[in-house]
Amino acid sequence: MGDLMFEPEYNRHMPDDGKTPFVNLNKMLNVVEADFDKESLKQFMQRKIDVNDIAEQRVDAKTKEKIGKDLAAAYVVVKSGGRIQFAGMDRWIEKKGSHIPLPNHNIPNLKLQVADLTGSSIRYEGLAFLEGTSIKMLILRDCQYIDDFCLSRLYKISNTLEFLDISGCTLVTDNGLAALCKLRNLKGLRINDLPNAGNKALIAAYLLDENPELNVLGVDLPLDHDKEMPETSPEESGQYSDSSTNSSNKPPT
Amino acid sequence: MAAFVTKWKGNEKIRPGAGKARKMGKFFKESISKMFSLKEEIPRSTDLVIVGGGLVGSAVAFFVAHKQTNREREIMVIERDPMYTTASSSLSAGGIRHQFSVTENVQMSMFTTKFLRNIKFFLGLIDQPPPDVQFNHQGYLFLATPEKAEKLEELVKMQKYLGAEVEMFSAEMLKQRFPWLNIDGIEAGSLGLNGEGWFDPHSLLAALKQRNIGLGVRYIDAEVIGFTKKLSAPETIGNQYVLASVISRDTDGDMFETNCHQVVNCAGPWAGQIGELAGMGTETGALSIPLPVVPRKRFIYAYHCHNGPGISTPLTVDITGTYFRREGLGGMYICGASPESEEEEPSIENLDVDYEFFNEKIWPRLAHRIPAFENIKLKSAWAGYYDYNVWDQNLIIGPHPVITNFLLANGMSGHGLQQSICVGNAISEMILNADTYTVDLSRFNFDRIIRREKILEDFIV
Repeated sequence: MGDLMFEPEYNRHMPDDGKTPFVNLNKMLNVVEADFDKESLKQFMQRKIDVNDIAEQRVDAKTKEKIGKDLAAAYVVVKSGGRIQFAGMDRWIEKKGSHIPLPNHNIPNLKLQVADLTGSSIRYEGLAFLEGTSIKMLILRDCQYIDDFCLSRLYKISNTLEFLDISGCTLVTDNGLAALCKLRNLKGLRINDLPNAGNKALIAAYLLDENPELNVLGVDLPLDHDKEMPETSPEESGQYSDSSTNSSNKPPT
Repeated sequence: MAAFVTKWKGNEKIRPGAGKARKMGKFFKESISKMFSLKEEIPRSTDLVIVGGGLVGSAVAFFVAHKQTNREREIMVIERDPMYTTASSSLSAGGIRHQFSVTENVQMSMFTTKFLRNIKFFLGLIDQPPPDVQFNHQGYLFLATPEKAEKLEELVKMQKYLGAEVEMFSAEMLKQRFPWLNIDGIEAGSLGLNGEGWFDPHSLLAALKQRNIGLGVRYIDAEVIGFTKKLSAPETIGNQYVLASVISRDTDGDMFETNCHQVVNCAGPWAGQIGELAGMGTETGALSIPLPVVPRKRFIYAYHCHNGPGISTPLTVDITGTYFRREGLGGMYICGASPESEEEEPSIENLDVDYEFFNEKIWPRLAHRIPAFENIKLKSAWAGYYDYNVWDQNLIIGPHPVITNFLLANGMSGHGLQQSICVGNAISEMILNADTYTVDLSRFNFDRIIRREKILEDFIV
């Protein structure tokens, strides 16, 4: 659906009056005319890295069909620098140099169970590998590109996911933690070192309300959370815009 | 010099646009008063004028500025309410959903979600933290009676085909997932699992405006009070003309003329008035049809509930059309509903809140659907305007057939927030003569109003 628009250098629209023979030259010049200060170059390089990562973390449908969803997912994880475990096996499988020790043909009944992407550059688009898998344990520790939208996308494995570690993902905010409510079978959650999630203790308490089996690590849970406002209580901060507020207990029938 | 410059024959009080001379005395008076005033001068000419600096106007400005090469078009956004006190953009409930019955509406919201997901790339400033719009990912839940459940299932299939992540749930599954829900009278529901939710519209607007200013877009604090017209070519088709300049009045009451090449109408609820100034609804033929967009007032009520629905609560839309969602982490919720008929539409004279509407229409229905809401405390309320398309409550986009350089982007009737980004992109594609359109919105052009055809949307909230 129009991914071209995310590529600034290819999507410049030139006014086409049919007279200039140097339209392509202008397009090239446009790239060269980018500001040459340190910050702009940094941004330009970062964009190149982003586009490259997204291309690397994708698996096309044909490959998926050939080797099966679980194996394709394993490929994405291992290629991105992570390690995996299949169901029924004890050892980790990870990249050795540039060699990926995974079979390249379909093996029936091979189930991906654990994926460890600590420190990897996995992206939102890269998380497409989750679809159709039955991952029980997912470690996204210190992933600098994992943000709230990525956590919302984890709903794909909500049926099987039992343990999630998102410590150190600096982009995650309170709203991302709230999105973990979709992981209805989660039993363990580790949320250390999330500097941008100021109310993580309160949100953990809310998650526990809905999922009593959940065990949250890395946070000091409030002993008796009472649905008070994080800063002020509703009674104190009641700002009435009109004096006729309705405080009776039953609605009119 | 006299051969190039035409003599200004307009209203004496309006400072003329570029290329028009006025008397020497007036010119000197202006220069001297300019020396002593601190306000920024409104340009005498520009390329693109965007009437309205809300989400739609800022999105149009952003996409044109972002895609064009070397600032070849000068963009000017005219906004009469620079603090956005009555702007629908800041007063919106902030919801974004992919569950629509019209396919283009689904695609437009999905585009906006994709944009927000990549907001760092589009609106991020170098070495600054990315703009945070506080996106809540809990999704929308639409409830259906037994009569409507089958239709809802078909629509969910259509939305999934377009890539939306939505699922049907039976009433029992809903009760299991959301124990606070009273499923009396409910057969099924559709829930957005990813990409839907709500966010803070003002943060998005501020981020857009900041990036626009960085890209060289001029924001002018003025009100558009008129346009001047000229024939578009020596041989015109019918009575086609173009808007040659826009006349605006700033906060001091001084009037300025600015020559322009294209004008985009992003005036939201007041788009009908801008259309009238441009000539819509005045003469004969296609020009006799006014832009069918009027302001319609809608209320949002904020209340507190001690034992209300928890953190996974989606923005829930009841079979009666009443909706509610969680607000923050302290047990606060907001709710609202559209009036059931034209007769019940509230007056648009001001933004005063009607609390009777809450007591009589909204609260009883909420309390029936969510029994925990029998005990709530109303904390505050506010009102805002929908840019309501009285014809078919859907977007009107594209150039006017007679006023050939006047682009419309109006009438989203409550969906402006979700569609603003995609509309901005679509208008930029029209302005920059793109080869292909990201989302093809040609069905929504003004011609359908002239031909008396309607595109109706089932999921209006």
